Amino acid sequence: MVDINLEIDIKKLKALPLRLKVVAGVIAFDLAFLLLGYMVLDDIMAERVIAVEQARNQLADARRQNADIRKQLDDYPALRQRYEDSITKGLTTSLDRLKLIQYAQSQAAARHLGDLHFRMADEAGDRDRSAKYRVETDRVAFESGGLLDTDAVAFWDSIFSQTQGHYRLVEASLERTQDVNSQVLTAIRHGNPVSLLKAKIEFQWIGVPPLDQEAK
Amino acid sequence: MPRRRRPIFGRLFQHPLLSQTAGRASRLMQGPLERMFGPIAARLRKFGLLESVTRFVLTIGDEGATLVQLHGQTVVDAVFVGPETEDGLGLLRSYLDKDHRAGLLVAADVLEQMYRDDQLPKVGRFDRGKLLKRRLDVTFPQDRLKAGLPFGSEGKAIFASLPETEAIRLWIEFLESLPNPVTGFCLMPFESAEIAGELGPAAGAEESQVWRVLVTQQATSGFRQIFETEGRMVVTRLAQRPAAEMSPQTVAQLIERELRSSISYVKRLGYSEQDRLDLIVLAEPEVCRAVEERDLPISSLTAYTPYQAGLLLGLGEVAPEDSGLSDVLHALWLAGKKHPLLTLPTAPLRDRLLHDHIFKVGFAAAAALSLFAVADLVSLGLDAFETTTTTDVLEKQLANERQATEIIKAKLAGFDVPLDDVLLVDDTADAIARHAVDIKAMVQQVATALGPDIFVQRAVFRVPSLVAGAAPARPAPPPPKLGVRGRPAAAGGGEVLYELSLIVRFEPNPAAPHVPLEQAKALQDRLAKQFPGDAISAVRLPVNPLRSQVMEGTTGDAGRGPGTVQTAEYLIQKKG
Repeated sequence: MVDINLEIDIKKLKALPLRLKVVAGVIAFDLAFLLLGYMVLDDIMAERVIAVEQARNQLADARRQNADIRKQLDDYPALRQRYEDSITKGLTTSLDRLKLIQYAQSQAAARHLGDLHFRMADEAGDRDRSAKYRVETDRVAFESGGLLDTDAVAFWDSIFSQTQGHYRLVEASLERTQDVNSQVLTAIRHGNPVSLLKAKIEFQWIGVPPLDQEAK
Repeated sequence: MPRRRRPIFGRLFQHPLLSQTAGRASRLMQGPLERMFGPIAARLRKFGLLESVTRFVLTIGDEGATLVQLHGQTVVDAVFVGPETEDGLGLLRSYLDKDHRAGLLVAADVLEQMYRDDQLPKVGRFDRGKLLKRRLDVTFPQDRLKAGLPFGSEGKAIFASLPETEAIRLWIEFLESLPNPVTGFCLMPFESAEIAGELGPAAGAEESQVWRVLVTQQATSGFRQIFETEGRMVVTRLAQRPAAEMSPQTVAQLIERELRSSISYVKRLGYSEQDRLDLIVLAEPEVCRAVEERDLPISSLTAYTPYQAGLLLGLGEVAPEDSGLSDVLHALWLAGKKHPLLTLPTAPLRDRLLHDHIFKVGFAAAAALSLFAVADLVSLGLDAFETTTTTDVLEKQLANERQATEIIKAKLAGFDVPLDDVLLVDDTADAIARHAVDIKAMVQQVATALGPDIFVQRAVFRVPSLVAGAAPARPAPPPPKLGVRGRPAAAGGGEVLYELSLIVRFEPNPAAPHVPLEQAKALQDRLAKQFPGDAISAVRLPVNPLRSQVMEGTTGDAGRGPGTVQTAEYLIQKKG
């Protein structure tokens, strides 16, 4: 049945005037061209546009990088001067932990700070490094009791003077633990250790020791 | 002159001023427009894309045929071909050969025309066409030339057929052999029924039904009566002209006799004596006068010559002033319509018209698609060119930038201390310097701000970024509370460089319980002076026990009544 209808339709189509067939052919060609363009050429063009966009981004990155490195070149004399200053101030020295602890203990004793507790540890995490240097970071904490807040502050001051140019203060606290009363005065009178406050300080010690020194 | 009954727009377009202006503008434009578009229009007409300005109307009757040639709406020529004309079809063909693309409207004014009213059942909008065709085939099963037309809103339809007599068969053969696009067959009485309504007196407010009968004389057929009511033809009759010459009185008698016999027939279709019947006669002036003298069973009589009627209908001059023939009038009336009401085509004629229509639409679609395709192709080509050139330019610029970078890198590599080492040391020094804080000075500032009877219970200095960075596993500290007094510490943008939390204690004073609160407020002001530029906020203030104030707090605060220790908490923040 289908074949018969198809045959009839084909006969009808064949019987159409030539001008209609020509117009139908032109329409079919146009549609095929547009479809082909939509399916193939548009994709190709889209890829080319993406490639251009990527090249544009690469150029922008290259220009930014070039500008940065040019600025570094221009700034090099000033940077070099600061570098020399930092070297002079001892930024490239390493932390002598034992020496610092001994110094803190002596300073605490001199300022009547009892129950000194210290903690010193290498900070976890990746460190910046260059061909010659590596950043070294230690976290240092001192906690003690005391009679006067001025003693505690003086102790902190002495520690910072020892680590000048290397430290970044993280936390410092003073807390009054008890008031002055008759028992406290009696204990002081008898020469017994008395603590009226709790003092704590925590800071980062940062240095940039040369890698060869670290190896030694 | 008789009254004019054309609609307002019809009359407006016939206004002399408008006609003169249009004619003048047309004459002015004709020259340049003709020169500019004339060749293009001629070529388009040759391909069948534009309708030819020339049209023909062929009226076929039992006594001959009339071919009217029109240019726009103007009659160019008219020719009558009678039975005695030698090679009548050849003569007609010679006229039609003048322009093969000129459309030909064919109107049948023959005696044998079949009309039948029918009531269609209510069906869906999309099934009406199929139903109409089915009913048409049932009504006129043997006829080839037939058509149906629904009218009114009550599902009524009129079916018409043109029996295929020997004469009609010859005409079909002739028409199908023509290269012109042929629209036919139209039924002249059916198409011209509206003329009666245009020429007759206007319908009043009377309740009785208005019937109109148009009587015209054609060379092709004879005297034609067309009965019309409610805007459509109900009956048409043809009285063939006697062979002998008739006086006007005889013609009037003939018209009266035919009218009376038609009325007896129309009565079967619903006409009654109480209804209004308007008679419109188009005939020679003498016949008009003779008809006016007769005692006719009608409500009104309107008698014009075809010449007068043509002017009234806006068709122009359709006949000599003393002529009684209305062939050209009917032809022009039909040609003036946008579409004929009914067309009874043969299959080849219908297919030819359909093909013409499809070709026009198809050509327009093909032209539009081709233009679009070409535009698309040009656009793609331009895009391809642009992307290619842009890519080349960008690649060259990228190579230049990279080359420049390499040169600078080579310069930097030539320094005794590499840039990386310098930057590492400098950045580290910057990081240390950025967080430099003089904690001793800060404690002294706090001490300066404190007044008598105020003691620091707890002071905590903290750099949040370093605390958080040092212990990422620790939960982030809660956001600072909104200060109960002063500037909200954490509000606003910027990194908090450091914060100092102070808990201070005020000596109890049972005699003046409101003093700690005042002291706390004063202390906040002093802290603000000591730490200019920092955000100072009071996180907690001493409780005010006065009766005029509201006391509010939690269980932990309940013990702090009058006479107990009062504390306040402050938060000092510095933002970068």
